[in-house]
Amino acid sequence: MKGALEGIRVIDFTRVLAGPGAARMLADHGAEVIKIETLTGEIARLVIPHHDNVFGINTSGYFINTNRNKLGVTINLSDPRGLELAKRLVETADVVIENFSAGVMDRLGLGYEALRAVKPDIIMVSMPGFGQTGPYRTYASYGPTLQAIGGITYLTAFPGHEPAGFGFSYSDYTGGWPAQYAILAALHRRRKTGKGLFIDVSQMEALCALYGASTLDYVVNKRAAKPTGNRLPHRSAAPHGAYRCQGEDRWCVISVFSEKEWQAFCRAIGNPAWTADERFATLLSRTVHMDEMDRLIEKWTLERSAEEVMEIMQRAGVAAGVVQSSRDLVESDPQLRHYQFFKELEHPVIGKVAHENVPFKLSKTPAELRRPAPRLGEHNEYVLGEILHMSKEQIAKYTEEGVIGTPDLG
Amino acid sequence: MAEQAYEETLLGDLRVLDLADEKGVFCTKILADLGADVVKIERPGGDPMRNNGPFYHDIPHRERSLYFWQFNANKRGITLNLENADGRAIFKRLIKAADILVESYQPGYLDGLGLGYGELSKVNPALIMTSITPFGQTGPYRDYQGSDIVGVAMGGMMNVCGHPDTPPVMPFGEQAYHTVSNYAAIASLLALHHRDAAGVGQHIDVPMQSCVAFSLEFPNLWYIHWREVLGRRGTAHGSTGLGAYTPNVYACKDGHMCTFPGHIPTDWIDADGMIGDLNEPKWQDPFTKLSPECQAHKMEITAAWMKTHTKAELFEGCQNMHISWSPVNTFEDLFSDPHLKDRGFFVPLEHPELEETFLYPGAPMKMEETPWKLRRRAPLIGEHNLEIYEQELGFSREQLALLAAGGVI
Repeated sequence: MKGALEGIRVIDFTRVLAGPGAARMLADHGAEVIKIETLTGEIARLVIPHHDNVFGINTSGYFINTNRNKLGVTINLSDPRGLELAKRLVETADVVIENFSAGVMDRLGLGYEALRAVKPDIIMVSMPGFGQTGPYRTYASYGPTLQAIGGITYLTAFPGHEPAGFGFSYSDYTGGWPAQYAILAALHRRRKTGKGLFIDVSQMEALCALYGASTLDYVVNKRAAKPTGNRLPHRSAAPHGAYRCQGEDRWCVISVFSEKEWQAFCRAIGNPAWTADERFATLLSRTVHMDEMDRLIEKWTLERSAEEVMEIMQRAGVAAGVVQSSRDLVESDPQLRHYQFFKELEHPVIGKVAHENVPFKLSKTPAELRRPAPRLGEHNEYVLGEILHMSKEQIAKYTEEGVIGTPDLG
Repeated sequence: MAEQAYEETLLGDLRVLDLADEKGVFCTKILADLGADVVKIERPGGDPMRNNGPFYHDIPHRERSLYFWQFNANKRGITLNLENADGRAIFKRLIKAADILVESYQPGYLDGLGLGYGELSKVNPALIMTSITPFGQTGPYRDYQGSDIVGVAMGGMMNVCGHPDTPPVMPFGEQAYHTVSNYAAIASLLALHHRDAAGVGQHIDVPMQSCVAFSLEFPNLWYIHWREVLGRRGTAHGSTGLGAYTPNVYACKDGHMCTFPGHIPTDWIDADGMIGDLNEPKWQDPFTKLSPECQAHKMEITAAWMKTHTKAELFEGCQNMHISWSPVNTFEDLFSDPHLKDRGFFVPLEHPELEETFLYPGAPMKMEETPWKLRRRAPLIGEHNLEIYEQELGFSREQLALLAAGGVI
């Protein structure tokens, strides 16, 4: 089956996750994504977890999951002949993605103006942490520091506790999303107008755009958002939280919004006497006595497994769910299994291995996992030979002289 | 006219119908911000989302929900009752002229009304229908209810948020809803690309749970490749492997700083006379240096020193030494942040009926030729009924009065 982006070629200069993840979405939907790495490989090849803890340039599960469906070439961009190769690839392409600090592509001679000179309708996304302008434009960042400066580390915590935030780089996703939808929207415009576009994504701003009504609450009501743990301060929700269940560190979340859901919740836990108490009878009184109510609910959940709590609640029509660990996701969640969320691909070095599959499904042009991530320099010969029409001798000469890398396929 | 629209926005030629609740309301916002004409279809009397706080000056009012304002700016709004035969007939006429429909009802609801993808694609074969649900259109959990906290819990995100000695904590700001909405917008535009090439629409199934599970970086990979579960480790990052791990966040003079593992401004700490024994040979041995004990000792000394400096001092000082630390900004800090200010992140939007202008969060990206713009505040209830029903569909005022009396619009 053909993918939605059949016929689109993307040149991917990005490293680690935000950029490579954005390019992955295009590759998963049929675009030909050519990943350009340094001769020693992109840094994500060093990022854990390496399969079965065996370190190798081709064994990082992190790299493998993020770069499937792409072709990989290793080009020395500090050699003018390498730069020329990159430019010639751009000439054949529709989209360029890069996430160097602001100014680096310009210094390399690969800035938007230079690329537009060789491919007038090129769509180019630059997506470093802080964008192309502004006082932080040259500052380095990674997920945790972006999340911190963007405010979500401070806000994701229980009141009175130290900031908690995320144990991973959520901002690599939130920064990647606008890159993806802007590229796709720009492709639509290009079809109508023939014009390319330069898209300047700032990962910090992409994150700051995701706090809902908090900005307006600050601007209109002069109230600055504070950490609220698992509660929704401005919404009619009580109970709303994570409740400890049987077993070690097992939790189930329960959220009740309407009066109807409250009644269903009470029935589901067997209408214990406390639910009739005036402290909990109305939404308003429940929100005042939330801590007390949570303790009473936890007495009930502690006698059950998290899965049992979820099932009882869902049968009653109350939104509830297990706080699932990755073991739950990979091994037992029947819904993710139904959707083949983890899908195996044969990798030439580590063998059959599960990948995270695209999380949505287009009925006529679904994403497809066609090939595993490239081993180091795996497609040097194909890309330079088939796309740039270089002879075998030329490729061998460039390899010998370090313009392109020596493939390491082990 | 149409050509003009392309010059100004990316999606100016598209009509999007918006039947989404909180799960999908940001998807249609993204499309509207890219220039699409998004028409929000509310039930007569207004969408339930209008009851979501906070409210303008804290006075609950269906036209003053800041939640509704935030997520529906740039959209137009009409009222229509889909549970009524006249309403459904009108809806099908709207579908004829639509490019994308975004909806977030429980699976089967629209089918039950005769408005499922099968029916609608007969009316308009080029229609892209994007269906957002908690768990998906099929599968054992298809009928399960899902809120934002259920999404981050079942998708595996909450399990890696929080400190080991507290319960799992929900990411701030309804991140499961934001996550699924972003993927739904991406999916819709992937389908648009196929439609532009092949002329046909399609149905898209976007489950919130898998969208969250796809956005976790480490936990699934730890389990797949190591058979290890990554749990709550406070502010330590998943790239710091098993066993002893170093938190990223430490208190400083006026708040908190986020550090970068292994990178500390040794010379600066030394110049301040607080380096302790860190320069002694026993901590310099290349093997010892990598040990958890050495890391812990290093950060203990660093943390004590950080208390003597402010966020601003540490941020600028470290970045100038190419050490990528950053301040843990509070929410109010964002409004004085020089970078956001310089890039004009917060943008003013006028509310003419209140004769006031408010700052809204702005663009995630800049595009000189097709700028991201806030063009209009969220619609009032039925604000564009006449524009759509009279001017576009050709109903007379009398007919519209009848439809209103019948509870259709």
